[in-house]
Amino acid sequence: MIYHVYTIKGEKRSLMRQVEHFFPLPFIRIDKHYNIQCYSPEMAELTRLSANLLDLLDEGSISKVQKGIIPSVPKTKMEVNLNAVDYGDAPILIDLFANWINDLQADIILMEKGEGIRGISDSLQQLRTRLQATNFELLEEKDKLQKSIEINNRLSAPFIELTEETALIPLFGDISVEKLYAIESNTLDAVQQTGIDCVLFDFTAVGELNGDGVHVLQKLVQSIIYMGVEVAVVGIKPSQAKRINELGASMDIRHIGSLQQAIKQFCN
Amino acid sequence: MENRHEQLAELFLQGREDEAVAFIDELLNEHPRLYLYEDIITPAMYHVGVLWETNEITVADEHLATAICDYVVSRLDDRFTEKESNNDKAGNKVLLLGVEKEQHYLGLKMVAGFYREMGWHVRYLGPNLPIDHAIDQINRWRPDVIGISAALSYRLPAVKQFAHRFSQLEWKPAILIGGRITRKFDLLDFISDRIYVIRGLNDLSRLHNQRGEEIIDETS
Repeated sequence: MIYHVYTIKGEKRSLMRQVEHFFPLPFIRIDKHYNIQCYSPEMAELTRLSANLLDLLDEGSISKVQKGIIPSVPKTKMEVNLNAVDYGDAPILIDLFANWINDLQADIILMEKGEGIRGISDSLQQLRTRLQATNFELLEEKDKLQKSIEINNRLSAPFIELTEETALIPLFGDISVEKLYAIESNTLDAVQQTGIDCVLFDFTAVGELNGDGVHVLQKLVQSIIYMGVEVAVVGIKPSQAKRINELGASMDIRHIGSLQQAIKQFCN
Repeated sequence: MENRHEQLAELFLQGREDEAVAFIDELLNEHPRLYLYEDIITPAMYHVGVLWETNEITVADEHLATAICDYVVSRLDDRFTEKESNNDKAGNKVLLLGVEKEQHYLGLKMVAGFYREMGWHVRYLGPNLPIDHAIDQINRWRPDVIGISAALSYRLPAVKQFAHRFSQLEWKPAILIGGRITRKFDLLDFISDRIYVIRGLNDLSRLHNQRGEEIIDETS
């Protein structure tokens, strides 16, 4: 037999010994203060031993044991978490069976929960981690995509000075709110800095017209006019003309059929 | 009606996710989301913990309740992100994580919802994050606010380590410490001019209402 004597604050608190018990199971006998009087070798393998049962428990299980394992309840079965051997690791989930043999002593068997539940909880956790990672990658891709859309938008309306008086802004792609917001301030700055007299908006490479986008374009055109600059719209296709009409967004400015005509008119 | 959180806990434990969602949706008609997080969902999960402690349910039941609750919180978050995604105010950024080995994450997820509702960019890295991973992400993304969460007392050293490392970042993000650990310990030693201890979402909301400027000012 192996004896352990624990001394706490100079006082001999507990005499704990290992017994070769008849069950090949983790077993302890405790007194009513949860001091461990004896334990089986299997118990010593399960966890790092201490003189008191409460010291073996994960903090969330301490009051559960204090409330549930009491002499007035002769037999109890409950789940508890034991501290892992390595401090900070996930606690070990245990099925605990307690039996008070008298008011002063209880026999307790502690069985580690089957691999089953541990397996399930591990795979749940892995699933969660994977979902998390996927979600995160998606977010990063979304960020990248947003940035490239923004760059794309800003590049969809280059400001080209044809002569000292005339500038050409060929618009590319669909006319959307985001795109118009992205080009608005650059365009206005360019108009002011170059001091040109006329801006040609070329619609040749424009696709769909979005209603709100056209509205913002109208405002942009209006702002340029306020700056004392003439605006002409070039190369509107029949379907776009119809669409502008439907949107009730007719602009009180010059429309020219093709870029060729516009250049003839403005660059001579 | 009282004990609504207990009713919700019951739905979680029985795995009735559709009813749990309907239950939350109905409350959403009369209450702000903050109230649902703080006064219904969080107490419901604490109640599940109490049921385990009083030996009425098993850990398997708890896992089920957690999964259902996760679903409900994700759904709740989703509904609002769609609606408010255009509302990108000022582009403030918050990054949220649980310390290494910490497995509790529902609180963090609700904090993510709280910030999304305010129109912030949110990166929720989840629980159990090694510190080097965290630092790597943080350096790349440069958030204005970093939220750290932990539940159990033996995570205190990790929380301290994380908070210390984050407080050395050159752009001085605000560091929030939250999770159940803050309800058990006062953590006064942790508080400094850029480190805040948050006891629940109401506390977080108050902090932003009263000292919101101070939280993001330093970084901008």
